[in-house]
Amino acid sequence: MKKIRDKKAYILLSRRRFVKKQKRKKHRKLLIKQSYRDRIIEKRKKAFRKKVDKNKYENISTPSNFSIINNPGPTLSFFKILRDNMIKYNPVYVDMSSINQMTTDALVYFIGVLQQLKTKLKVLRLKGSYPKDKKIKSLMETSGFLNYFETTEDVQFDPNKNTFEIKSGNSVDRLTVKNICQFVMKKFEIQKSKTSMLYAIISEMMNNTKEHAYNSNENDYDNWIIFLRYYPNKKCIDFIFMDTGLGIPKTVHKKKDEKILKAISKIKSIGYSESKIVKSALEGEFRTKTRHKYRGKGLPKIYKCVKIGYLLKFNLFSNKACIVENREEDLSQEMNGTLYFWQLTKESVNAKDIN
Amino acid sequence: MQRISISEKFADAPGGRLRTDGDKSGEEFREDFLIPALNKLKKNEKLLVDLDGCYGFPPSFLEEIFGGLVRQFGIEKVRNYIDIKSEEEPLLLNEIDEYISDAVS
Repeated sequence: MKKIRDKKAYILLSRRRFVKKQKRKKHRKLLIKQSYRDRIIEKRKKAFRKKVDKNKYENISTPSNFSIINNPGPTLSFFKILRDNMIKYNPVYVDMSSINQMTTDALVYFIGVLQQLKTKLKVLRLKGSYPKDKKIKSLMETSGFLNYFETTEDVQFDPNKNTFEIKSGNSVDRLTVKNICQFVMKKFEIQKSKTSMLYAIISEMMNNTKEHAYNSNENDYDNWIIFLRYYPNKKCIDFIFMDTGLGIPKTVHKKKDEKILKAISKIKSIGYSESKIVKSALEGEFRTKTRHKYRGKGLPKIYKCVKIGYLLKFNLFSNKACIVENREEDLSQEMNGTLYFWQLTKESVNAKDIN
Repeated sequence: MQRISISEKFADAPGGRLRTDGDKSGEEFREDFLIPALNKLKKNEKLLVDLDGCYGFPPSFLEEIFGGLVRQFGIEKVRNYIDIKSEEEPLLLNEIDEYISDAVS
């Protein structure tokens, strides 16, 4: 112990002692917290190993009409069950054998869900079966869906090159967008200037994903996924673009009355509608969270292309919001992120006054 | 009049708004190409920004270039020293004009 000669020295010393004591206390708390966290992780790992050892896979069946666009309720319910099981580290077996109708938006969303889970979980244990229907199996193969999984079977590639394989990324991938434009130019035999609007739309979607869809930009996994397919008989190209971020209703600015309605809607069903919020953002209402008037130009531009008939059969799903061309409704089952579907034909890209 | 072509000098496939959004962004073009070109202008000389030859322009890219320039140097300077050429997509000029007007607010 130090000898204290005057009052000043005493105060100084007691202060130092107090700070040291606080530091030690803090450190001890941190150690306890860490050990608690380690124990939980170890516990989960043990539970996971136990389940894997026993080969007890949770069997989840896809709906026979596996499509978010045509059958949103059951398809989104399937993904919710899948996600819930995987978050609990349950090994999952996805039975796809019963699918007799499928659209690629469901496959794209499937990849998106897995990419998102990868950010949260270290291990994903997933097995599955192919659909019995040969056409659907072939679509699964040619879409590039299986590139995201390990498979023992030989994967067939599209001999006619009518598909632009599923691509994913986490920044504005201008070269992918350029390749997409070249694909469209080749299929429709059109000039570069006719795809400039498409270039703007896809790049803007990627940019929105990067800037608004996620809270943090430090996400190592892919944020957006795109797929397109050319139908030679109908002479059209179907596009699917999705991100598994927070979704438009959660990222746009909400008015005071909307915030109140949202809070009440959790207890009582009331007139709060996410699709109305998304629709108003599309129509150019001031909804950017940055609160700058010069931001938020992307979504109105996309919707303008729908209105003038450049983009056909436009579908937008974001959280509970569902916009199908001019109709809007709220889904009973929420989806994670945002999914766009649209179609292009040679006639639509030749539409005048596309700006 | 000095001329700067985005497709020749920068990229025929432009990227997003900010450098953090990916390569060849609007921010990159403004800071590394446009501002140095503006600084080299002689008295009463103008700079022609040529948009032709590109695959397309995301709205964020254009807003960051021209809107960003207004926020940095003021609307008058941008209108006095910059001309824009877009023969392939003439309606882009209206769009850019809107970005310039909205940039300050």
